[in-house]
Amino acid sequence: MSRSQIQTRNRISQATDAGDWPWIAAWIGALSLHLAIVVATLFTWSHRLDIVDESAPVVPVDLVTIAPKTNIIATARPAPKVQPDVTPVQAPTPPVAQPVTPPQEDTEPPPVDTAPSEPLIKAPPPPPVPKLKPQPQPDKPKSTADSINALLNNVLATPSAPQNAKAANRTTKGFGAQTAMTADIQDALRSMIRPCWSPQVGAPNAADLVVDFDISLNPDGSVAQAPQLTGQSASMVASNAYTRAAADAARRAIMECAPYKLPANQYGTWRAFTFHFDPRQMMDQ
Amino acid sequence: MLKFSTGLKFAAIASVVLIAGCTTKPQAAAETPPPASTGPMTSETQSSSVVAGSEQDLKVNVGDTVHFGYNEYSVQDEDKTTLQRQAAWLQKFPAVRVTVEGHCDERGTREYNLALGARRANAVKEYLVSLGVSSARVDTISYGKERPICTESDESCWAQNRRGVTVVAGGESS
Amino acid sequence: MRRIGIAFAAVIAMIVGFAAPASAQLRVDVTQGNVQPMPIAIPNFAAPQPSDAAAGQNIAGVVRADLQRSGLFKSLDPKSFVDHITNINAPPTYANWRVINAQGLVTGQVQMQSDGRLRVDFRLWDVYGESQMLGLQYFTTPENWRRISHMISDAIYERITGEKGYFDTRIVFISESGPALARKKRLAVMDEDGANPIFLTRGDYMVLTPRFNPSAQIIAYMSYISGKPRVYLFDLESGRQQMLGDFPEMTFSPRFSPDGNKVAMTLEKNGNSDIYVMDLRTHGVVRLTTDPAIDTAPSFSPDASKIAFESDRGGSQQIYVMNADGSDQHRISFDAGRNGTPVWSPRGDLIAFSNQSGDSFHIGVMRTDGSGARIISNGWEDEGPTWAPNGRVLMFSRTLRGGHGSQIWSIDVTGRNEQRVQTPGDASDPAWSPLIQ
Repeated sequence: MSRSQIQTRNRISQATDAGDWPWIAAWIGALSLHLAIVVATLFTWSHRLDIVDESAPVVPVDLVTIAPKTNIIATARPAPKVQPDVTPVQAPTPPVAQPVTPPQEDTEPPPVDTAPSEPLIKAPPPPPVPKLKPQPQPDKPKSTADSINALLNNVLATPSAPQNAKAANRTTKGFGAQTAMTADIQDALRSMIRPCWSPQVGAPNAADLVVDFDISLNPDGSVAQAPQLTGQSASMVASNAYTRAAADAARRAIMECAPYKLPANQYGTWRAFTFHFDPRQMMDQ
Repeated sequence: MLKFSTGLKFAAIASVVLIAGCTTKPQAAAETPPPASTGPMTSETQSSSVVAGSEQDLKVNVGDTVHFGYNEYSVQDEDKTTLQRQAAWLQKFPAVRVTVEGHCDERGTREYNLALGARRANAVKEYLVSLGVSSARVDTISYGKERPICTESDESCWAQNRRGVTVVAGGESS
Repeated sequence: MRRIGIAFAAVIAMIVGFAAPASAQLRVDVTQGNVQPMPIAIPNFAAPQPSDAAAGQNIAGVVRADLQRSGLFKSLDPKSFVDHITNINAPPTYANWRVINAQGLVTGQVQMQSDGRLRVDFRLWDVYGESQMLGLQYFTTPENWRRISHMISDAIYERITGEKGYFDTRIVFISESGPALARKKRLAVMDEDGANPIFLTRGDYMVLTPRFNPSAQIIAYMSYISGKPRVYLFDLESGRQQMLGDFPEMTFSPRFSPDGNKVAMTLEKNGNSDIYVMDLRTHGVVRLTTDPAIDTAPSFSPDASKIAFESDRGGSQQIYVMNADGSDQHRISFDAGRNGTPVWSPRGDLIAFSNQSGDSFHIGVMRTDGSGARIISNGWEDEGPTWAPNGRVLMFSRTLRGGHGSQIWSIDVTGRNEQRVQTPGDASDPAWSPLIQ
């Protein structure tokens, strides 16, 4: 790739930017010259197989000498620390270790990196609440009433033992009241997060986009600590760029839609919960 | 409108002069977009100025165009007389070689219409050959939907564009 | 002893079994969202030396336009910014960007080096997650600032969406001019965003259906330059064009194999069109279809094992798939209307096609087995789809009703974000290059 070729290209681009096409004039000049030649040769022009179109401008193709820099997110990125088997997200990205990285980000460590205490405590990851819907969903538009009923049934089917005193007190109030209240809070959270969540519905494999986040909320509904990626998505995020993007999009939604206005007297119910993002219904179109 | 048709007449005459003026020029014949013509013209004044055995003779006195049904490529009965006249004309001027152009309306993908145009051109050629014209004298070319003679998106226009046009490719009288 | 052990294990199991659901906290299934472009703020790239300020402005401008055009981003108006980035190496004040509802922030810097090269750095920040998502640095000759801009756009796009970008690409197309009854058609190339248009032929003969080879160096297309419609190759570097093979009759609808070593195309003989594959190294030609019907518009699958094509062997123009050696030819399109010009997605998951229902044409996509077909564009005559290298976006030709010209449009594979592609005048038959190497 010669320098002159690059410049040719650049000149043209500038002309285009200017809106008028001064090179057209040059072109017309070239065209009329060629026209004369064509007219002159037309009568003797036999069919040739190889024809060089002399007027064709040479187009530059390989241009750039680019030194891709190391990915400097290494220290800054809030890598999910929930599961020990999660390799840091940055691992695959910086094959070229260049010393150009200004490690400036250390000045302000993201809050996430500090003590992801809670998830580590529950050593076995919580088995997911019985699935509301088996994967291939036959009827897409599900009414809220239906989902509440399904939820009720599921909750009734798997009685949960109280984990702490608070919860124990609540459960004494009665099962029906508790589950209805839970369903209300689920519905409320669903409708609150909905306007903020914009998944990449054009991705090739919808299953890659399913992500779970553990959330801790303060009593005022603000996010108490950075949402923690959990479940299967936590192990996929390192190797699957789509899952990684889906996790980012979900995290953005969680943060953007906060604070979550929920009944204060039921704080125990929504203090900590899991958002399960599954865009598959949105993708069959 | 009057002005336009006058202009057209001038253009037609000009192209007659141009074509009559040069001896053999296959490329020019193929490249020049044929002046709009959908069948034999009846104007006596024009046909009298036409050189027998020329492209213009074919166009004006014989009829150079046949039409096809939508997505069809068989020669229609009403067009057979035109092709019979073409065959007779080709017998009369044995040095003349022709190219049959196949054209389509816009309703078809570019590639499909190139193939369909080839079918149409070939159907015309086969009919001429069946009437005794040597296949060596008849070439074919497809223009698909790229050379319409009418641009409205309606049936009357599409019908005009679905056509086979016989043009002189060489050996014409001067 | 053993029995006690079993009993003990059972007790443990019971405890665990009850304890596990107890620890399960509330789960909220979110299945409905609000698909919308991601608001992103891209201030002009900082320039420590005032002489580089224009470059910083230009690069940010191209990145803003690229991302906006993708439909997946909303480039926020710089006039709305309340913060001014001066030091791109320090984390930004996120709150200042949340104020304007930016979810992403791109900060960058340009610096002319003493060796005459331009150094461009940028960082992508997650405004709500308060973290850096990406940081890259490029060195290049200053003339290449547009390519650098596109590469930055590609990097941001990839980080946010999870798939490769497509901004550092080119489009080969047919530039059209002149009256409807005497169209002048010229071979032309331009950048994906319409910049740098270059005409490759003069327009004194018709050219159609150009396609890039995988290195984006060679274009296969159909030309009437010799008076006969034939497939040619055009070498962008030398400007030389060459007829592909020496066939007695029309050759058309060329398309390269994924490795660029072969061209599949259609040969017409006595009115019958069939698909052949020519090896560009040996010039050996293999015939793949023998049907008396019209078989045309071949397109390789990205793994080169299959070829999609169109045929009217069943009575109407429909889409078929065969193995690359011509075996196992079977129809895959069964939807209403006629279906043609199948084009296999580089991602391998879909085939785009032109559907004709009634008198009008639309672009559709289907899975490679023909299932899940859906129409995504909605013009009068939309045809000839071409995929962005990431398989996410399509361009196509749109002919306006009544001979009012041709345009190139692009659309997301989801059917969103249909928009006209900027071209110098009328244009048709776009073909997207791979990412430039």
